[in-house]
Amino acid sequence: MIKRDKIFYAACGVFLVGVILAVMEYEFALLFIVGAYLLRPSLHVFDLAGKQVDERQVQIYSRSGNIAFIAVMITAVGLALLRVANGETADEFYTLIGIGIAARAVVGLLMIGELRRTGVVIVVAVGVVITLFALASAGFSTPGLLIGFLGLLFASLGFVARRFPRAIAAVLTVIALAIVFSFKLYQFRPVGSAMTFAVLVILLAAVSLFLSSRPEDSEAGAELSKSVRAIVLAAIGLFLIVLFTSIEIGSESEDNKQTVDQVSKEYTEIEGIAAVGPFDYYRDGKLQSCTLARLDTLSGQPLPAGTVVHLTRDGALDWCFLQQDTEIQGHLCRGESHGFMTGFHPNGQLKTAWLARDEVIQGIPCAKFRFMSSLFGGGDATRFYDNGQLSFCTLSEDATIEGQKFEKGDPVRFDENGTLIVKE
Amino acid sequence: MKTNLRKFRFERGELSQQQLADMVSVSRQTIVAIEKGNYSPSVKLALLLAKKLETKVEELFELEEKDHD
Repeated sequence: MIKRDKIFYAACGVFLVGVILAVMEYEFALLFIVGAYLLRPSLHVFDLAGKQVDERQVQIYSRSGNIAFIAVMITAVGLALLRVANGETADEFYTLIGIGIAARAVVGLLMIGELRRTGVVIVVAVGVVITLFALASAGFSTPGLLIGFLGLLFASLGFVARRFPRAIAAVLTVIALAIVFSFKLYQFRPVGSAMTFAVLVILLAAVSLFLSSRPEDSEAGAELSKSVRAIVLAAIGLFLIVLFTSIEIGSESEDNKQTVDQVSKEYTEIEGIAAVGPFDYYRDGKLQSCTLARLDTLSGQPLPAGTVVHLTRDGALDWCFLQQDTEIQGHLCRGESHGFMTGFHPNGQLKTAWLARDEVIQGIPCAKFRFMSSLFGGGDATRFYDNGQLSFCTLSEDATIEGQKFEKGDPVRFDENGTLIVKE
Repeated sequence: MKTNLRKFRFERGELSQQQLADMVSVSRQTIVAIEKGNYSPSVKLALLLAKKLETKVEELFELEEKDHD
């Protein structure tokens, strides 16, 4: 049953904007469409929906939200395991899972309404997570122990905060600002997603501790819970804006952009590759993945600095995330984000390409990747066989292939000899 | 939990579900769900309903045997 009230009409407006942007092929149109769907429950969560949401709807939102959260987490874990089983990295999924669980924990703490306890628990939890993460990833090596110690030091701030909340709030603010400037988050670097969340969590702890030190805190009651909700709303909004901006335009930022000529000053030479971390290795010690510190040629393919490369056990280029749109074997492949994995066959031939422009390949008009089209099943990566023959693409215009008429947006498949594969 | 909401609604001038919903600021679906026994209202809503229907909460809602388990 559709409830036609102010929120309904507002959601319709947001949805319409999303559709218009989608037609204009702006990828962030999806954000508006999702926003329209989530408008009512989101307004309710922050007590901004007034009488537009009644208590039964609240209960329904709460239960369905919990189920949706569990579904998203299970899906993310499943997809991460699938990636790992295929020998690929699953960093985006780990980030998603981490942010989901942390957000739930933080909001849960804030909803309890005991701000000092909230601040203390957040600080201790962040410290313990840093320590465990350091020990798990670096073991009992010097860096592992050092970072682990720093994590414990951070956690100890939580215990001090019980007695000196304002002082620790100030310290946490300084730490958050230090992270912002160290990682240059203000430049919307792609690293921003997980790190931005860490900064927001620390700032939330700082604000919680600061507010809890007010003399009127104990009498603040409902007023305080409203301010807490406002803080959470602002923090989540800011987080989404920064996350979205870092994904959408971060790599286009001129300040941040590494050009093919630019060379990172600090790099490590591994197996002949000038690379910067993070590094992954196979069990036999061979390099598995790294980021190129400068323009480099792998498996005969020149790749720009900043490209994340994944190598096979034999040291051949397996796949990469291009730092910027790059011409690979005559095809302009999309870079910019981890969403576009350019794959290679063992013989070095291009296997998977996310085209950055419409191209005619072997006489077939292939379309560049369009996010919105892919949502409706029309778009995907362009694929090739190891003999260089086009395997799959989405048509960029109407075409007649081997006597068969196809329309723009139709997917077409070919066998290794270039013969059209007709689906029965 | 047994509810006598429907009975009281009719006894108080044959109020429609929508009218009662408007009086207590909830949706009609919520009133429907309460009457069907699919939703247990909050204490606040129960008190509001009782007030608007000029009765007591325990007249509107009654515990059943199974609720004691």
